[in-house]
Amino acid sequence: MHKKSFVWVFKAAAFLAVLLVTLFFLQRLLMPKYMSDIVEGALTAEYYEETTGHEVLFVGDCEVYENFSPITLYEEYGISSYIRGSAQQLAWQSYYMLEDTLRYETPRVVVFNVLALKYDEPQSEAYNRMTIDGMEFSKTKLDAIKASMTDRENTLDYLFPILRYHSRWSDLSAEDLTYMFGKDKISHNGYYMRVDVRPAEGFPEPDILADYTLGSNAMGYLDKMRTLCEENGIALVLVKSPSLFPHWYDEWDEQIAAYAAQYGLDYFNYEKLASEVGIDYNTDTYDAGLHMNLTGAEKLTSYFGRYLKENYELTDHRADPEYQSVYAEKIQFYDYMEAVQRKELSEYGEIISF
Amino acid sequence: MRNRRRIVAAAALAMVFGLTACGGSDKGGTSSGGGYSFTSGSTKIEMGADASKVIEGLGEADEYFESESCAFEGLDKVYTYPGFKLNTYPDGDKDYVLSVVFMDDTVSTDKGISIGSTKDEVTDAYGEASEESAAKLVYESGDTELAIGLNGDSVSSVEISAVVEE
Repeated sequence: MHKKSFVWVFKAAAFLAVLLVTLFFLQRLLMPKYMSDIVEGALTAEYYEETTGHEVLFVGDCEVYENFSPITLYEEYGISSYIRGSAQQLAWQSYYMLEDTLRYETPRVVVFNVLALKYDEPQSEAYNRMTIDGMEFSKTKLDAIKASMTDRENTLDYLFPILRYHSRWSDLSAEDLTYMFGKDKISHNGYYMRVDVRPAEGFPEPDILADYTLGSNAMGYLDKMRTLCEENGIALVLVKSPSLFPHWYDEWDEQIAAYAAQYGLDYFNYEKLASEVGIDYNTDTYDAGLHMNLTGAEKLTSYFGRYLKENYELTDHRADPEYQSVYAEKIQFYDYMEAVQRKELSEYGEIISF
Repeated sequence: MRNRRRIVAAAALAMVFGLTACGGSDKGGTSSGGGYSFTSGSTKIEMGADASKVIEGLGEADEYFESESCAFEGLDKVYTYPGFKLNTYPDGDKDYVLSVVFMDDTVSTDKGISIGSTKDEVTDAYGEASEESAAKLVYESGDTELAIGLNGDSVSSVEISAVVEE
């Protein structure tokens, strides 16, 4: 009897193991890979592949990952930095990205781009997924899921993505097999590069809003971010990137300026400082003023890097052999991507591979 | 060519999120036929309706603007007409009406409320708000929302919108 019981338990355990392994492989196969058209969905996960630390951390939406270049910060100032940003990354998601980063390292400066404070509620499952799916599992990820879900989402679908993506089987492509267990690198320490140029044109007159007060939920997470930085001895800097659309209202700007003044934080609105930075909206944007292209991002980064260097005790890593080695590879990849994009632009009139 | 890339990207996102069977977002044109609407001339604009038919009815806009979302999830479009703006959002290969925003006092809601109306006129027309603060009144009906901004006792803004995941 005892032997029979043992065999039964063994069979059940083996069946369970096979089932779990199968589900694991299926989940890997069915989850979107974000390697061709919507590469922004791959940004979050890339952070975990970093081997060196970062003294400056950027958090925010596309206004950080398209407008600041950590490679430029290193090349010009020796500053090590990383951008933990993703498409429409909301204020609470930036807070949890910071909390998640603190599980691995403690930067000296955190830079938060304030545009996302215009949103006070969860917005879109598609964007939530692009931000959260790439996070490594932790209590922080759980909290990020809870804070981010729209009414129609549920936690289990995030914890077991196969529940959400099971019907993608009919849309599977070669990409799903190719990138099942490993993905190409698409960013440069979180920076999404674009070298093309599309001059800024006119924008519609800004909507007249019912209420210009930034929402309490979003502002609450800004406050949590500030507190978390304080507790960890991190300087928090607030920025508004020089993107011209969506419209950043003066009323919002005043609220952020007042908040920064109240807590002794630096706040820079680079829309207002664009000419001082040297941004030329005819040449420095790739999508008519919404985001910077490479030249715009490098100008902004160069300008902002000078502020960082002059105001914080940041290490110049350019003399450190470990960083030299790691960044030599990063710079090579950066230069390679720039060259390929410029070649495509010249050959096809547009960038087709990025 | 850029437009083609955006359309491909939007279609890819739709494949990723739109066709999954359970727990998915469902934002396409569902609120047409109920809730708050706006009428311009002979064209009734229902939130969530197919934007192409609405725009055909309204005629050529004074201004047109389109912008990509952060990750190219299609194009958000803004059509400016005398007195109001019409915002649309993409879903699959179609655009749907997201909102109508009043830009001056030359237009009014179907119940006669315009920028400059009094708060009492609003409550007489629409009753008790679902959400009320000193700065705004928000009314909900079906999958639509009417947000009325207040400057003291006077209406400072009017926005009629579909309640959707952007």
